[in-house]
Amino acid sequence: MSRYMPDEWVTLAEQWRSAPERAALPIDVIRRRVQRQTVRLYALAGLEVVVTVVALGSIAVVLLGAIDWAARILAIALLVFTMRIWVFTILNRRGIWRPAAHTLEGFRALERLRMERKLASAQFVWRFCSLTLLAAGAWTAWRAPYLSAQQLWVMAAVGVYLVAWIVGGLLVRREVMSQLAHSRADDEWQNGASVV
Amino acid sequence: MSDAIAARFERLLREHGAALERLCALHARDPADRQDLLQEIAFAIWRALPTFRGESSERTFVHSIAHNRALSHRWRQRRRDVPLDAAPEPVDPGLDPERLADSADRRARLERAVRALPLPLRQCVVLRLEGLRDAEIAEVVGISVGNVAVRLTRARRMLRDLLLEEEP
Repeated sequence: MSRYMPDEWVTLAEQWRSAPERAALPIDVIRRRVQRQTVRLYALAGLEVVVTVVALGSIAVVLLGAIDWAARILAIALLVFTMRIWVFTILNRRGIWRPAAHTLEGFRALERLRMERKLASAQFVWRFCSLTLLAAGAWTAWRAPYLSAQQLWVMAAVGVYLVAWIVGGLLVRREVMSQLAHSRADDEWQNGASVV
Repeated sequence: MSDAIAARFERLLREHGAALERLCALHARDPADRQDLLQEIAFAIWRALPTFRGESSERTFVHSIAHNRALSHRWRQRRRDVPLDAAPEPVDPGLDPERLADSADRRARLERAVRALPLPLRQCVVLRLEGLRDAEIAEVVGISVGNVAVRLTRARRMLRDLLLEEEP
């Protein structure tokens, strides 16, 4: 090291590395956490597939069996909405797994891309749920005279569920926008400091 | 996780664990927070490991990931308005103050001085203190070698002043 470090840096480096020994790096804990996170990632991806298949299957059953044309309209709307979510999810995940280069610049670019995609997801969630809420509300208002009390309660529960997603989407959007702003500020700072 | 990747992952953590811990201590003062950051870095290394084909040295690879995660951590800290620089120094009750006073005190002053540097200088300084060469620092930070030299010269001047200010 001293071959390429001036004496002052060598002294400072020795001081720097003289940090009191902390507890040994818990490699087993880290490995278990990594394995848990991996399982979670795969489970989430699998869950998405299962939920989509179940949703599409249920819609198909309703479409095939429904005599009531209003129920068919609702099923078709759900089919379109489900497909839209599926397409968005696939497109939004492209290119966020690996960095273009194994350098800090490459990793930071990937980090920013992930934040931008998370922002896009949050925007999609709150807009999509708002639209769904409007559509479900309009359908319920239209069919209210023919719906049982139980069905009305189900639609009300769906409404509360959608509102929760809208609020969640807006909160995530705010958080990610703040992180992106800090990230961009750091980049500007870096670039500014790069000028020799 | 395949056996080969798991073995490589563990070796990287063993070889660079101390440097990663020092980096985490610089960016996260609370022990639990520090542990979270360390595990976050470890997870990021593991995720990137299967695609690492040795385009750079392992040391550069590990530091690139670690510095990136530390920056992300910093953004989240700012969001929560945690005053990193004002946070109290954690005290390990197991340390003997008499025995460690001198080196620990010098080390603590150095850490405070490094933390007081502007981020672009701080990144280069931490990498230099971890023993990376100019070319490796340039690769990790994504700037030219000439730029690294300029930043290190500026940083050394600032560090000298900061350490002198703290001189008892």
